[in-house]
This record gives sequence, structure tokens and C-alpha cells, in this order.
Amino acid sequence: MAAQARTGDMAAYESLVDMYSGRIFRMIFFRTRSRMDAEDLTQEVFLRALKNLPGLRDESKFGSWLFSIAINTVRDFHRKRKLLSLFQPLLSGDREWDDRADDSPLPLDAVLKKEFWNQVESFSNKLSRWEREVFYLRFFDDLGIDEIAQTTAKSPSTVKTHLYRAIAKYKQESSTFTRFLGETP
Amino acid sequence: MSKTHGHLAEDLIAAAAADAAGLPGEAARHLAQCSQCAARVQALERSLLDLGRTAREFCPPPPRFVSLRLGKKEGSWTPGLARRPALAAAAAAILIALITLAPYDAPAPPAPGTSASGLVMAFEEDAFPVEAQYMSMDADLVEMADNILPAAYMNLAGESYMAWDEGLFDILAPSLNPEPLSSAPITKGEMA
Repeated sequence: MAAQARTGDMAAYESLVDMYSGRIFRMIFFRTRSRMDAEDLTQEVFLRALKNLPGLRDESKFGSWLFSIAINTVRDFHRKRKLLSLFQPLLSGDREWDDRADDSPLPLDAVLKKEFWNQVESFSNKLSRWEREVFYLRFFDDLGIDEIAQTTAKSPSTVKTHLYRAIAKYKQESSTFTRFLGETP
Repeated sequence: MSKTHGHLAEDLIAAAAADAAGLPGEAARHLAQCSQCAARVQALERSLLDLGRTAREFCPPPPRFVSLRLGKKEGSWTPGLARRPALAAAAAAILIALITLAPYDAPAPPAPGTSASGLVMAFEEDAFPVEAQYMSMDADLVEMADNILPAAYMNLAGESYMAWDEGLFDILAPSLNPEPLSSAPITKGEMA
């Protein structure tokens, strides 16, 4: 399908969008914690991919290629946000929970989700940039070691090293997540 | 990486959860034989998988439709300037130089002989046409400045206290070259 899309077949590309949009949206949400930003950036990822599709060498790696575009898009977003925070003090504080992100009918669920993401944020702050990226790709985005290596353009052994370090840090903090892991709705 | 009390240490458990196949030979052999260590690795793996599952469950639903229409205008009248700061700086410098060095194009003078306020010109316009033009403009500007706001607004703005302000400034920050008290030269014995 990626090969068809590469030749300019828009129907094939739209099928790819349908296939990957959910995963890309979630992947961006994990890194922005804002539903609105995740929606905007998801669209931007697919537009960037469409523009650069002729440059894709191996169609079988479309998924990893798309994830790498998403990672770069999120990085650009954070860079812009950091720059804007110099001029807008409201953006410079800790990332606020986006209430619009929560569709829970029950307030208790909303509180639980908010606490969970705050806990994830707190844990993430203890990881280095690549430890965090690899950990997220492996467990949140559910990619395998080889897919992560392709997405991040790193060797599998480097990916494993970052993953091992991140897991070692998670092990020390895992007790703080226990109550969330047992209470998923 | 080490072993403690005959079992795998915490770092080896983490390494096994990251990639069991990548464990060193001795640790891999121990893990294959020790149910206690295998259980610890499995518990950590399960915790990590649960964390990922919970994150996906706590994520809002994705949008049903992703628009592939461009949200932003493509192509600009300043293509590439944002990516080329040196070019943008040069363009800005040229623009400023053009604005600064452009000759001043004075507006057309009012009807000859009178200013906008009706003031009759008291000099030879024919002999000094350019001076006459600028004198007329000056008179207009002075008049505009004097009458730009009604007196009530001038009072509110403190404009009527300008003379007092100037006196205060003289006290607070006296001039470096004060004028002599008297222009007449002081003669010997006059001070006494």
C-alpha cells in the first residue's frame, strides 16, 4: 500500500492514514498530554509524510518512517513551545493537564487519569532524553526493538542499552504505579 | 551487573526485562534454572506491559478523520527568509537604509501669502521661496501643537504646569554652564 501511495495513489495513502492515525495520535498525546495539540500534530505528521513520500526508499519500513516523522514533529513542537515560553510566562510552567483530553463521564476517572499522567510525567523527568524516547516507544507505543532502532536511526544494541537504563529506573519507581495498574477501567 | 545471595541482582533483572537474550552466559543460565529469578523478571515485564496498556486506555480517543488539506498557506512573499537569518538581516538593513536616506518629500504648501491659520507672511516670499514654504509649515505646526487639545485636557495632562516643572528641574539638575548672574563685569570692591 505504501508503494502505491508513493506513486501518487491518494486512495492508498488515505488507507494508510486510516491504518496509522490512531497510533500516531496516541504516540503524540503521550508526549504532549494535550488532545488538541495531538490532533493538530497528527495532521501535520501525515502532511509531512505525504510531502516526503517520494523520498521513502523502503516501503516495508513505512511505519517506522512515519514514527520517526512523528518524533521529529513533536520535537519541533516542544522547541517552539520552549521559545514561546520566553515571551509568554503562562507556557513556561509545568505542563498543565488538558481537561479536554478527558472524556470520562465520571469525575473519579478524570482524577485518576490526571494523577496517572502526573506520575508518568514525574517518572519521565528522571530519564534522559533517549531513555525516555526508547521507553515510550517500547511500552507506550508498543514497538519492538528493531522497529525502535529503525525509528530512532540507532543500532539495536544502543536501543537496548537505553531501554535497560530506563527499566532500571522504572523498577525503583514501579510501586508508585501499582494502584493505577490495578484500577484500569 | 552482579548476583546477590545466589540470585540475579536488580540490574540483571532489569537487563533481562529489556532483552533476555542479551544476558551474559552465566546470568542467562541461572535465569533458565531459577524459578524465583524468572518470576521477578516476569513480574517486572508484566508491570511494564500494564503500564503501556494503562497509558493507551487513559489516552483520549483518536480523531475519526484526519484532514489532508494544508492548514497553512504554502509559499510566501518572503520565501526562505525565516530559514536564512543572514539574508533576513541584510534585507532589513537595506530597507532601513532606504527609509532613512530617502529624500523628504514635503507636502504641498498652503495658498501663497497665508498660512492655514490665516497668518500673513511678513517676508519676501519671492526672494526666499523655500524658506517661505518651511516658515509656513512651522507656523502651522506651532499652532497645531498649541491647540491640539482643549485647555481642560491640557490641565488634566499637566501641561499647564510645564513652567513649574522646568523650575523644579533647574533645582534638581542645575545646568553645567550656568549663566552669569549679571552680564556686567565685576569690578574690584563691588562685592564688598
